[in-house]
Amino acid sequence: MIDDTLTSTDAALIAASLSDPAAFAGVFDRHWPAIHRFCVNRAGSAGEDLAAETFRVAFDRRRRYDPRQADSRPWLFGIATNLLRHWFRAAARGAPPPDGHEGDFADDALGRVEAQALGRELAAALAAVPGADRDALLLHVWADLTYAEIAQATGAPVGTVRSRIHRARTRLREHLERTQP
Amino acid sequence: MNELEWLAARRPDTEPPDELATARARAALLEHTVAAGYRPAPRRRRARPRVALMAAAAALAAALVAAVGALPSGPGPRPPLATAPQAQAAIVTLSQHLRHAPAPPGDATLVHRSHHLRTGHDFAGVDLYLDDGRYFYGATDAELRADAASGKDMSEGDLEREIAAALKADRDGGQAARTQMIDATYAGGKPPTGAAVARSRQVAQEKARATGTELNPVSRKAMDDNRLWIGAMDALIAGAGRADVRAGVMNLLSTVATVHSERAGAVISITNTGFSDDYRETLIVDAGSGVIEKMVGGTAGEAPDVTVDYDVARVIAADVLH
Repeated sequence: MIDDTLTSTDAALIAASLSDPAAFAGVFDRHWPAIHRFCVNRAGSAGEDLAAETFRVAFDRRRRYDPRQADSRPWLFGIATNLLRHWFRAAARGAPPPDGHEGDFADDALGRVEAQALGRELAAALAAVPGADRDALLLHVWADLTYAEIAQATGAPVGTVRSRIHRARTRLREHLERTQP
Repeated sequence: MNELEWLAARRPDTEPPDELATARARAALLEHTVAAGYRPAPRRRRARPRVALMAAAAALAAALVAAVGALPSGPGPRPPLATAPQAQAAIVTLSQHLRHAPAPPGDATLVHRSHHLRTGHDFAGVDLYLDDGRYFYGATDAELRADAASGKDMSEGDLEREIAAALKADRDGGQAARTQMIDATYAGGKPPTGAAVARSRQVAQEKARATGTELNPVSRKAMDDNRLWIGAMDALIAGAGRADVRAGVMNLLSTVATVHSERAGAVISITNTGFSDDYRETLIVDAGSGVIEKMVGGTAGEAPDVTVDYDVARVIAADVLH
């Protein structure tokens, strides 16, 4: 009798991919739609390539994946967010495409490229929200990540995430009170 | 509406990724895994795959591969799992769609099939695949019932192995599932040892010398793909009532570089051109469910050598047998 009830966790797939790299396609199959949506929502048509790049970077970093985390979604969103930040910066100054390395984007102001992708209304609303706060807020609202998952995605303590989202919400609320009757 | 609700309401209404974008990104990832240095241990196999009873038509394809020569061309790096994302798009999308399909009712899959051969020797058969692994066959429904009543279980373990490989492909994907399916097609699920391969090689060489024929070695990849094709077809038929099996089969087929899929209305045609002499086989499956409807085998541009029509139903075995 075949047991078809077992379902591999992402952590199991990633562990399997250490000896069988093609097994990583299982992670792609599970999370591609969500990562694709998030990247396209934030970067427009360029988001598609960034979403694909997210999985290539994730594959290269799979040895560092924490096997205690059964669900790789926060990890993938973290990589995607980092790639988006790189791309916003690089595209704004005409630099080469992102390479996936970590960077410090905490104080990134809303640049021309990111604003263009968000559209006028959202860009105006988020203009006063610093980069790291903006990322935390959008991971929470657009990617449906919990505070703990955002902490895992961004490598920040949960308390920091809470502060970032609180700060971002305050700025956003102030903007809306000024502009929305 | 608070600021979170305001922001959520402005999340762009992005379309899900289309199948081409998905296939392209997936293929790029798989090629990246190969480029990262993945080189599995080389394995050698016999050229001629075992042909399961219900996939008898596939023997044509297997025989053609075998006719080209019995020697693997030797070990070497395994090529990318998929090289033409556009060609795989339809089955990759179908595989992902099937992952979310509900479990079907019943405890068995009943297949009525009719074979139409170019030679005119048409025949039909009825297969009953029970989820517990038993398999019954009859030329007619009455014969099937009679065989089942006499307890004539014809399963030899091969179908279970092939279905298990398809389920692994559905759960995990990857090279391990591919290897499991290829191995499942060997008698007892065991690929021959190096010594057995060497003996086969020697016999083939001696036969070639005696008959003055030339051996054209078939690549290991071509033989693996041929076995995978046949095993996947077996699993697609035997597990036709199960969406997870069908999803795994589509996943496995998307790893064969010579397989091309195309959606045409309500069906997807999946064609394998990885045979000699322009021989090709096409599976026609329902575009929504992946259930097999037809198999056509023959030389490109000529009338088919064989066409098999399948009528697949999910049933309760007891209802069929009594």
